[in-house]
Amino acid sequence: MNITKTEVLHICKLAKLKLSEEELCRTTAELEEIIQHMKCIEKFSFEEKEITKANVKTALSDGKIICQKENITQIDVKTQVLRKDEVKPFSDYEKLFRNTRDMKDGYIRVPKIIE
Amino acid sequence: MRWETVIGIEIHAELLTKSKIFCGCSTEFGSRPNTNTCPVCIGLPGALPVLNEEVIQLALKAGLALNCKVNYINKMDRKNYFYPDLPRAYQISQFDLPILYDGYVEFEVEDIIKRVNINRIHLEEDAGKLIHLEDEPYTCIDYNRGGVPLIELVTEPELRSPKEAFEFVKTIKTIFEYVEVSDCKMEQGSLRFDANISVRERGQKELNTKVEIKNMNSFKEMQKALEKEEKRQIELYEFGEGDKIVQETRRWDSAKGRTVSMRGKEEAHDYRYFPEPDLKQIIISENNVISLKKQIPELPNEKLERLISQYRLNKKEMQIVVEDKRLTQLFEETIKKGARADKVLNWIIGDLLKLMKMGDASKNIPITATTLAELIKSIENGDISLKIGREVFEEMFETKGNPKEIIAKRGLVQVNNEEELEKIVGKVIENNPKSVADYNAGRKQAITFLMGQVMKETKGQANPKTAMNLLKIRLP
Amino acid sequence: MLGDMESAYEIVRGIKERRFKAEEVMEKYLKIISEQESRINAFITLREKGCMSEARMIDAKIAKGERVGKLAGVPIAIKDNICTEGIKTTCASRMLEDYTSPYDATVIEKLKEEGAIIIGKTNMDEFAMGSSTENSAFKQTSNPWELRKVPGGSSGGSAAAVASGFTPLALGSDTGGSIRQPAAFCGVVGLKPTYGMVSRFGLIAFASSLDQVGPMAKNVKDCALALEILQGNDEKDSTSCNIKLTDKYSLESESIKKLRVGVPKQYFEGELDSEVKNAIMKSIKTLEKAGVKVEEVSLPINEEILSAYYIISSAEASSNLARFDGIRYGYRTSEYKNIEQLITNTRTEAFGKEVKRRILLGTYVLSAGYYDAFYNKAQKMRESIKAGYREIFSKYDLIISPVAPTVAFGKGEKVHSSVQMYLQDLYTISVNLAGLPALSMNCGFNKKNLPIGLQIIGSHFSEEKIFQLAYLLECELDLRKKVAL
Repeated sequence: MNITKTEVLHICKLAKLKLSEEELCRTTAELEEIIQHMKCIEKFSFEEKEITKANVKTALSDGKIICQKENITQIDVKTQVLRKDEVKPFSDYEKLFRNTRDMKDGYIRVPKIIE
Repeated sequence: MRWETVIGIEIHAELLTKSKIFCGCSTEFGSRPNTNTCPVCIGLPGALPVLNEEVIQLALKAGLALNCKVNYINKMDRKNYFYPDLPRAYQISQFDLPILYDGYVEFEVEDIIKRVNINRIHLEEDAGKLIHLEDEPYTCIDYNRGGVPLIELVTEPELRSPKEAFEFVKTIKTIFEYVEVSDCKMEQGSLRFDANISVRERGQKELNTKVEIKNMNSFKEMQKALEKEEKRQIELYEFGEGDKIVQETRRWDSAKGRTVSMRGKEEAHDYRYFPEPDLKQIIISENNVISLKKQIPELPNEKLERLISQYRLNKKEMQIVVEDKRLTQLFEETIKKGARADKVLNWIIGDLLKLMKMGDASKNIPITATTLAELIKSIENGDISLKIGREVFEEMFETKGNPKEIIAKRGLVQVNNEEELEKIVGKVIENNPKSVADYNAGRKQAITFLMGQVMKETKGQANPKTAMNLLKIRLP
Repeated sequence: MLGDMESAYEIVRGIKERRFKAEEVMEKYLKIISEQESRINAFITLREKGCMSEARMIDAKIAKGERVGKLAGVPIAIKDNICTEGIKTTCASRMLEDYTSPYDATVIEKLKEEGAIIIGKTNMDEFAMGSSTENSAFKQTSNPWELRKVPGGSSGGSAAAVASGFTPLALGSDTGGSIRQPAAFCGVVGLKPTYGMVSRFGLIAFASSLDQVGPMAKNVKDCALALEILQGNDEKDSTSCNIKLTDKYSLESESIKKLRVGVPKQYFEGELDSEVKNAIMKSIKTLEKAGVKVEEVSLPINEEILSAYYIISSAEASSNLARFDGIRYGYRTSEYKNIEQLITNTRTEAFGKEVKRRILLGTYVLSAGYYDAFYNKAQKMRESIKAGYREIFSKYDLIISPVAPTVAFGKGEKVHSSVQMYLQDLYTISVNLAGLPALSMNCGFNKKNLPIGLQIIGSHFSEEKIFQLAYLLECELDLRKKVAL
């Protein structure tokens, strides 16, 4: 057993989805099957040098450094994409909210949230 | 003192950019609802974020001013949770690699230098604003603030009292204002803070359960809220009911003067952070950091030390000035224009602060270095008396006027003409024989009354020195 | 039937040389659609009137001698997950049934600039999750070669539209094979470009680090022509590449004979259908005869790759699809008393089964306690896949492989097993994980006259080489006599 109904319910809550009792059983079984397959990845061994946080923090001389850490690989300053700090408003305000169902006085309305 | 309080603070500061962190929408405060929005910041399908380069520069400045180390390679992550003020249902933030880390700040609490370590400063986007209507069953959403760039600063739990927390936050605000990374307007929400507080027995190593406090809208409120919560926890421990302190978020209700549990809202938080795939990693060059370091201005602490020793001024008074960047600027520039430091300080601490406190203290100061220097000069030259000077100052404050013009317009120029004054003094002596007799009988304070009469006759415009001399000459 | 109006390249030439008018071209295509669409169901939204007036505008420009674009008068079908201002973009989901984007995707802007005319939005698996287009909330698209078969997916509508002669060009999106597998099933050409080559701005994200928009066409030449227009840096997409690209792909080159092509032996073992295998082997022989050097190479294909793909794509999807909460746009439930119910009921009612399954899977692999076991491992797997390809491309220029383990399967055949459906992606997903370009093209037919696809994979930004090899093979095989329907 890789995943229990309770876990599925917890995930549903995080994902804001609701399952009927019947769907819950079926979904649990399906996820069980998929996760069973996915578990193979756990056993897969990776050749890797353990790269410490400190290494990532090593200074780089204006751009040229190759370093690896978790999801950061092959660094090249030139690949950076940044935007200038300029105000460029969207052209068509009316269209922007044409799909919104409940708007009043410029505000989007939802049922009252109690904090 | 059996108990020791442990406080950690999180500060959110909106960065002073023209446009939002990931799109070209304006960050202007107070626009009509949802007008500073676009497909990117209301999370329309297909829209993608592009990072504003100025955000990185401002964050670095803030961090360098707080002695932080730089993560030369860092990245944005997604923090996933549903809330109507969060249009994509994830906040683009930083998780395991914040742009800045390991900093510290020093400040004085009751004449002792306190150092607090800063765990990290990371980049993130602000959420929209929810307005809960009083009489209607709706909450209204305004996404204008959504996507405004923020830095979040997290301290180590090293503050030991609400007073320290108060001083700490004040110090950070001043530093941010000095390095111009945020306008720190608390009433507009551009500076916000949360605090974690726990209490333990002195000498105990491990920390007790902490409580997070939100919704503290000013420094004073924060101190009050923390004092209240500190007291609540200590009492529970003393009554042996320490288990009633649970890890939770409590909201400060300033009207009722107490913290209220927000447990109703608490759900199992599992933010499922993962690297933001729509953005590339952020790479900062050493040269960038070196040049920013050079741009960091003299910070409040250094400035205070320097000004005190340079001009031999009162530390407590100078501290008040240095804590407000606007006052500091006024102070230094007025001196540059030739005014004496102690005089300038007196004007700022006395008259200016009093006038500012009567109105909205966050407003721009209407007095400029030029006008203040002129006023001081007019008094020194004897053009007007100090008393008249105060009136002129008040009018300068209200009308942003120039002192010379005000003096001329209202005909306030001091009566220095000895002949004219002599006539008036003669008249006063003639009309007040009793006081003259008193004076002659040895009650020297009677001269004060006579002086007052001279001033009354001249509508306060008599040069006090000249008038006094004349009085003394006429009274044997 | 279509004659020299069959290909985009010929259409543009014909219109510019005034041999025929854009209006005539559009009329012909709309006629075929009106006759056949009810059998194929390739479109979610058809746009008839607008097309005709746009075609007339092109004609008017030509009459006045004004400049017209590189795709002047060419009809194009757009997958319904690419935002088009003024035309609904539904992602084949109840969630966006009535959604009209306030802006055009960058690729749409580029197409319009070059005079292409959008004829409609094509059917797909809901939010591009699927391999058969059966996960559409609205309709089931048929494979034009045999109506009882699926067109593949998720860009099944686009593939079927091109194969049926509804349009010479279509756009698809490819996250794990969603352009290449339907291209193979429908016997057309489809390219998944290098990650970052084509802007994703306006593509409704499934898995951001894997998604890529690409062209689908009748032949290699049209496919290359379309890419010339679609490609290029976009300041609105931080992941788009910022390098100089050729603005004209040359399909014929003498150097083609010097190409070294690798054929990964593992791809031809196990699950692969024998007719598919034979057709590809025959194609390889044909290329060898034409002078191309082909060698067997080793490139592992295993369940770990499939797992890495499903972990990463589902994780990203769970986050990308969280914005659909019924507050700002899209479907909103009528059953709610508070905000919690509004969000949960909206999502529960409007998302289809497969979408929910992937959201739950993605939420699970990212949740506390599982992140390291799944997501982190998958990222490492991804790195090792990239390294594997780097190694091969240090010795070879291109790789030839199958696209899918079988030809088009029957409708309803695999809907009951997710794992079976996921296995469809076995040969295509590693390309997405590594961000590589790959082209899928027809290389023959099985005994039942169903098309068989062949995949050419290249190193990053090697699209030109891919086109050259594909063009050579296309000419040598000369299969275009056969027509669907």
